[in-house]
Amino acid sequence: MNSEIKILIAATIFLAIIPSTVFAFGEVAGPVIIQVPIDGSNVGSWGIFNNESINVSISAIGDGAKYIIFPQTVTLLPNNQMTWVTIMASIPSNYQGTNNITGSLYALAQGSPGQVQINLQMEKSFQILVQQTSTSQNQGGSTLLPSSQVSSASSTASANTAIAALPANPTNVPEAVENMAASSANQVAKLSTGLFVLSQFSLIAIILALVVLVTLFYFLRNRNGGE
Amino acid sequence: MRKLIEVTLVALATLIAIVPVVTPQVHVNASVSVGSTCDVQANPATISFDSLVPGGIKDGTGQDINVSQVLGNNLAKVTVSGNNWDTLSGFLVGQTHWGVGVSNTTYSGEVPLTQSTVVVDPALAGTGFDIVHFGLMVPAHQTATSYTQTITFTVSCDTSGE
Repeated sequence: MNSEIKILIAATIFLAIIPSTVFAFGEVAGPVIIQVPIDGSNVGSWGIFNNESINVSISAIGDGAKYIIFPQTVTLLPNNQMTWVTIMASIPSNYQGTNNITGSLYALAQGSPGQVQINLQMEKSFQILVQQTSTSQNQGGSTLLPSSQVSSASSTASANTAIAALPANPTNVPEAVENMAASSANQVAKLSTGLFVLSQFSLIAIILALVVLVTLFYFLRNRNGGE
Repeated sequence: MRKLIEVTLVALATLIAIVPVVTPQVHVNASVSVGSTCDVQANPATISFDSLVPGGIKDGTGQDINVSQVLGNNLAKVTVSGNNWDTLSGFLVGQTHWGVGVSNTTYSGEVPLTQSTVVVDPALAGTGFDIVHFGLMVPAHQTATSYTQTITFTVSCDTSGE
C-alpha cells in the first residue's frame, strides 16, 4: 500500500509540473472600421479572446497606424470571454489625404520559452473612413469626440499608454456577446420562473399529501376491519 | 362514520390527483447571439531540435506543430514567420525549413523560414487542422553554444461570415 501511495503521489507531482502544451488564441471576424471626421475622433473595438488570462502586446503597422492610439498591452479575460480593445482614431484639421486609411493591428501572445518558442499572433485589418464634414454623425453609432477632448495623440502608434481597454460594451461593438431578453421581458421571465419553481414545489407537496392520505385510508380500513 | 371518513379520504385523494393536470405550465424564453470568430491553437507550444553538430541536419516529423481552430466558426488565414537564431554569427532564420502536410518532411523538401510572413493555410476551417513540420540545418563551423529561435503563427479572419 505504501509503495502504491508513493507511486500515486509521484505521478501527481509529475503531472502537475508538466507545462501546458496547448496554446490557443482567437478574435472576432471582420475588419475594424472607424468613421472619423476631419478635426475629429472616434473609437472602434477589436474583440479578442483566450481560454486563459494572458497578457498580449498590441501593435500596428500601415498608413493608418499614425492616426490611432490603443493600449500597448491588454490582459485577456479567461474562459474565452471576449476582451474588447478600444482603438481611437483621430484626424487632424489639416488632413488632406485619402478618405480611406488602412493598416493592420497585431495582438501578440508569447508562447512557452524553449529552444524554439512558438508565438501566436492575431492580425486585424482596420480602416479609417475620413468624413470630409466635421459635423457628420458616425453611421456606426460610435461616440463622437471633439478634438479638444482627445488626449495628446502621437504621430506614431508607439506612445499609447494613456488609453486603457474600455468596458466590455462599447457602443459600436458587434453582436458577438450572449444576451438575454430586454429588461421588460426579463421581468416577465423572472415572474414566470418564480411561478414555475413554485409550481414544482407545489407538485411535490401534493404528491406527498396524496401518499399520506392513501396510507391513512388503508390504516383506518385495516384498523376498523381488525376490531 | 367509518364509511364517511373513507369516502372523504377517497374524494380528497381524487381531487389532489387531478390538481397537477390543471396546473398551468410556465415557460421561460431565452436568446443568445453567437458571433463570427476565428482562433488558432498551436500544439505543442514549443519544439526542440535537441543537439546538432555544425552542418548537422534534423528533419522529419519530430518537430511538428498542429495548427487548428478550437472554437472558431470562420475561415482563418494562417501565416508563419521567424527570427534569426543568431544574426552576428550568420545563423539566420532560413536555416530553419518548414512544410505542411504529410509530405515535405525532409529538410530538402521543405522551404526556408523567413522573417516576413508566408501563408501556411489561406483558409483554415473551424474543424480543420494543419500539421506544420520544421527542420533545421546548423551552418558549418557554427560556434558551439545554445541557440534559440522564435516562430510566430499569425492568424487573421478579416472577412466575416466566410
